[in-house]
Amino acid sequence: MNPVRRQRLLLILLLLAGVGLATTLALFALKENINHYFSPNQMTSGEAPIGQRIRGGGIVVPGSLERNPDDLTVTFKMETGGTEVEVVYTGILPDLFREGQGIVGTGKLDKNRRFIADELLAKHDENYMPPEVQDAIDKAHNAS
Amino acid sequence: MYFQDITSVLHMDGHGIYVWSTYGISLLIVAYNVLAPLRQKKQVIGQIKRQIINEKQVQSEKNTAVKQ
Amino acid sequence: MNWTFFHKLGSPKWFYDISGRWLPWLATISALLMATGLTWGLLFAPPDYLQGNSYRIIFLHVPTAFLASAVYVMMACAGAVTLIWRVKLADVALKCMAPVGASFCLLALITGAIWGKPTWGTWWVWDARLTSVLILLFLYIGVIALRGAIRSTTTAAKACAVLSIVGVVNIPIIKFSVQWWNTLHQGATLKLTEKPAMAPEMLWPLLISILAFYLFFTAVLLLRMRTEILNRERRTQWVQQRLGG
Repeated sequence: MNPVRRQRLLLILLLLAGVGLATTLALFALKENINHYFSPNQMTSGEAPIGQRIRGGGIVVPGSLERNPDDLTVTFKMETGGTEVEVVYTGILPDLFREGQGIVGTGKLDKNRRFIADELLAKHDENYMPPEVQDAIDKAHNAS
Repeated sequence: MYFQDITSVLHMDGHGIYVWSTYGISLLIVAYNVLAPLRQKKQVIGQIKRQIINEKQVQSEKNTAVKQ
Repeated sequence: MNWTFFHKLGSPKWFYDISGRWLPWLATISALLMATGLTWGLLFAPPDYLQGNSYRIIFLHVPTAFLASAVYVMMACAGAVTLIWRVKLADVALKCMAPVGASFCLLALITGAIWGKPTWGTWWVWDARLTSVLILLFLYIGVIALRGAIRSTTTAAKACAVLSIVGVVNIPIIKFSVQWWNTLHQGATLKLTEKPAMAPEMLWPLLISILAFYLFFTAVLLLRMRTEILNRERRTQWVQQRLGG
């Protein structure tokens, strides 16, 4: 390769490496702020701060949903890896709120490590299938 | 077809407005991507052709001037 | 190494002629595929077990999202070729790719936002995936704005090339955002090394739509490049002859 062009190529690669490095460092520095996301494990273990606005999520534990008959408050449990956290939420649940599906909330932990959420969003995974296929899977699952 | 009639196609079990607005907006952006370049092409070709005609005219004027 | 091929590739006249032959085919096939894929996905594919009919937005969202990133990578490559080999045609390609890529990026964001409302419950969230794609849109706009702001063609070419290359760092961030951080946006349904997490009745219209949009991009790009070539080469004999008759 022509030496002038090789030099330009090297300069570009150097530029790219420099920007990549700067970005990586910036992202690591911001990681705490970007993530601000706590799993049920971290909420119960004390890693997550109390009284501070945080984000957290987990899978809705089947059978844990309870509705308050007087207002729109609901309580349910969310879990990952077996650790459960109780969530209290006042408002309309997202359309895709389902037992066994993911949920992401923003709110604060109270003194008893209950997550008082003021915003709840349904999280779904990357699987797409028609209802019949899901039914077939459920049947097979129940049969086993 | 999955849907039974035109009403259910539009309604999509309550999600119709979301689905159809995305398809509508996409159509607009696809149309823009077709029409804008075509318009620009017409513009540029028009410009160049006018320039060629102009220069031919100037050239022929020069020729008649020389003859005289 | 047969450099003759690359030299030919760099010739605007050669490119103009050969793209003229390819364009009608690309346009027709992409139109057919797009009509097929989108109609299939919109009306014939079954609904999703969880999301119902709102998931049909996927047939627009995924192709445009893929393209938004892919086009930026192509722009960065064109930028590198411009800077290293000073090939004019590479700059023509870069200039013409930017508005198309930007419109796809915008469409990906819009379709995503509209899809998010009935599924997640929100139009927008500042998670890593959405934020990095928004940054991608800003990069596209930056490349377009930079081009307009600089008078000299050669300086503009270099500046846009540099911005394209610098910005390409964002592309792996976009791709891996759903793995590196905890995002609301779910992980990839279509993976290179694993089976797709999608039923075949839904997968086929999706793949067709993706192909359709890629071909559509190519057709639009060639169309734009041909005009740009005529514009830049207007004083050459071949252009004068073609248009002057």
